[in-house]
Amino acid sequence: MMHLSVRYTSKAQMQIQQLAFVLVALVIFVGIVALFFISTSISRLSGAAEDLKSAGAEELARHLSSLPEFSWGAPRCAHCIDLDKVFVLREQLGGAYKGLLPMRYVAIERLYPPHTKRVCTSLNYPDCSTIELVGNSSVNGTSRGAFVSICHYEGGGTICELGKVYITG
Amino acid sequence: MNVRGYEFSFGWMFAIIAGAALVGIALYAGVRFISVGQEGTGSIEAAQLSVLFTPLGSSIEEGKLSFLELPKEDSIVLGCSSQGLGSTSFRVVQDDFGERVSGRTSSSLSYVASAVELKGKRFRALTKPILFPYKVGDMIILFEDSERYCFVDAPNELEEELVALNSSNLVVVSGASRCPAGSKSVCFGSAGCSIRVELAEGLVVKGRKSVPFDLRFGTGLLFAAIVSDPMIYTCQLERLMHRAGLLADLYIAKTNYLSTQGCSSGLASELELFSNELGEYSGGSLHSLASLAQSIERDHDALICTLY
Repeated sequence: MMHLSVRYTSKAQMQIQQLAFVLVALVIFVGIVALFFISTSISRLSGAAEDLKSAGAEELARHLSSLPEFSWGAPRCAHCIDLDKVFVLREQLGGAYKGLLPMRYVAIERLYPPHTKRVCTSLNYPDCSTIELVGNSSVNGTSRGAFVSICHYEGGGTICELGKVYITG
Repeated sequence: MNVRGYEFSFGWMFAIIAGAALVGIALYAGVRFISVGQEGTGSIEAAQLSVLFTPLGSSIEEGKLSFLELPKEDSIVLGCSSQGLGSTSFRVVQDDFGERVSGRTSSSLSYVASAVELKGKRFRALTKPILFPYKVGDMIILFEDSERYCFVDAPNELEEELVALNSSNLVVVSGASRCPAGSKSVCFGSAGCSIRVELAEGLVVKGRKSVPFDLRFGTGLLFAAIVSDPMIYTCQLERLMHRAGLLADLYIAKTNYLSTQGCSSGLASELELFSNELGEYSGGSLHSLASLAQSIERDHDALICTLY
């Protein structure tokens, strides 16, 4: 009976081992470089997404009064917010107006003259300070704000006040 | 003869196969990485467009022809959905090794009228308010900077508006033969143009398709109907009708609240009728809606506690 066997010299075995080590090192190196690139690009993209979100929120806060659902109306005051309209809109935002303000938190606060610090409801309006349109003040996130003029009818006349719009994207 | 053989060892074979595999993986990863990057850039540009168009009227100056410029030559693909408040979707499509990659975003507050696909680096945008008679939104009429529209025998009021825009993209002439070469001719009543406007019927005819407009809602609908793809225009019109209906309901709620404060408008029943008509609109002439809107406008002008 004949036995066949392959004999590697110790030098050849050493070469194969070296090659395997080099390859493993190369794969690890490529992996590290790829990880670095991926993490950099992801952080850049999420940074850009965050910037765009806050740009959108900031732009909306500044120009909320240009939306017909908020506007007091030109030529009386093109950039004033109609508080009465916003108050009745508050109840419709969950239904037909769903999706109008795709934000986590949108509120309008009456700053001056000062009012009793409380959220407006149908029981206390207009003797209140804040109309919360979307979400509530416990929502986390950076809030963007813009000062606005707020007008409404009271006692047969028009009253305009200083207010602030808060938006969390 | 003594020929020296070349020893092709296992080491070499392994190195070549493993090397080829590594280079292949690196190339594939590189191409994918660039493609993802392009898609990311497209998404950012699309989102920037959406931010630019969203609160309307203020980002792009109303009644003026503004420039929009992309960082490089790309395509903007517009979409429209009329479900509920509906939305305008923007896709910025970029060429990537012969493959088209795109980023997409949408906005429920913007109304954009344009062709389905716009190509180039620079675009023109005209913002016009849509009044029903209260403001419903701003229509942004978007077209390529290279496009020219030639208005033939336009009515005086419209001619004045076009001349005031002072743009080489919008030319006013008398007689279709005077239109510059390569421009899209728009005839008012007469024939011989690629686009025909029937003022009496309130229709803009493009080939076999026609879309309605009414000048009592402002000139925005007319410009939008001329420039836009009929499908996009019809969708945006449906969205505007829906929002006008919601606004009518909002004004009914406001007038009811003001009545409790001793300032009744007496407009609730008229607004209710208008809201119902808007809800039932399913294409066709805007004539009866415009008449109703005119009547509301007249009654509203006489109010002390105005609604809008």
